[in-house]
Amino acid sequence: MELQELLLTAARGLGVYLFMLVVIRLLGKREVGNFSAFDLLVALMLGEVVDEVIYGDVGPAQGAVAVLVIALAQYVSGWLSHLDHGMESLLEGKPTVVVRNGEIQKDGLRKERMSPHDLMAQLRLQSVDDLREVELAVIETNGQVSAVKEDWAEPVQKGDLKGPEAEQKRRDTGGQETPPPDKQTTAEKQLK
Amino acid sequence: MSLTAIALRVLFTYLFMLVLLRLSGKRTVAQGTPFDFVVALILGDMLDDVYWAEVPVSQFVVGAGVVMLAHLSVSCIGFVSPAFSRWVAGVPCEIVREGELCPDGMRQERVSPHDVMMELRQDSIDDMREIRSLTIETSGLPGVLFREWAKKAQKRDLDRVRAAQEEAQE
Repeated sequence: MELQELLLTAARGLGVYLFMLVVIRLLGKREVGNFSAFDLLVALMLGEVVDEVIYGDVGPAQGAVAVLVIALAQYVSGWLSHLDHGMESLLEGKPTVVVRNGEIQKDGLRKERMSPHDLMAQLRLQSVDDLREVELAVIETNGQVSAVKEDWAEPVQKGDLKGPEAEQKRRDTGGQETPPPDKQTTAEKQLK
Repeated sequence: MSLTAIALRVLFTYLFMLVLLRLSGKRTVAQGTPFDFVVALILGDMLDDVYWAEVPVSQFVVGAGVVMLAHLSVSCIGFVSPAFSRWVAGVPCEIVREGELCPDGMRQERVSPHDVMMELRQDSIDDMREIRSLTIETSGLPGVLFREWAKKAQKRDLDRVRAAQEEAQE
């Protein structure tokens, strides 16, 4: 290949890199760190567009437009989810309850098209071997299963023992063992 | 297009990418920043055009080489200048502090209260009051720090655990 073409490729490579640096920086960490399937897809889309530009198959202006539109759409949907819960449910979905107080919730499994076998495998990954220990297991909007254990199955905390920590706990919780719905991750309203 | 030619091109690009990535020193996705991940995707995408000879190998070497070189330079500059590193990778951002949501942090990361609840559930936490700090690190992953009373009992607490056991048995 001619030297000139190679130099152009190098220039496009550098230009693309710097452009993507700025775009990703503006989008922020959320877009990539804690992936949902869609976040991953967006990252792939951006990568895909960019490589055509480096090889010169697509002009830089066209490539820039494609990247900016994807980035803008992602940015806007991120803001909408942050601002309004209705939009968030629409864009990202809602968590699905699959286990409640040790009982498998069949309709939850059906909604997620997951078999009890799959569920048990996912729970094993969370180090759960006994369903009875599970107060709530949920399939989150990013596809991961989270399992919250019953109080009696939770590890002993320093606040459970006699001592200064118990005092501090009393102060921080106002003596209430059960958290108010705003602070309880398993409360009904948090799952809607 | 001969099958041998394809095999050779694939092998060459594989070795080339291996060398490039080893030079970059990054081991896992979680260790890096979001941008590390995107760079990896870009490089990976550039490969398939070479396999099918849609692009000459020399062009691939130059393109991928330049991208990787630029990325390494940015890492080096980031290492030398903390201010630059903060701009490129961002700073960790606190979204929960002492059992309370941090609206500023949440706005910055465009995280909703539901997202916070989800993060906590994934760590098996059902009570937000237990949290001293929940921070989104530069890699995008969350880091949880517990309040003292919510930390698990440690071996150094064994005496107190036994005392509590004895009390419970009475």
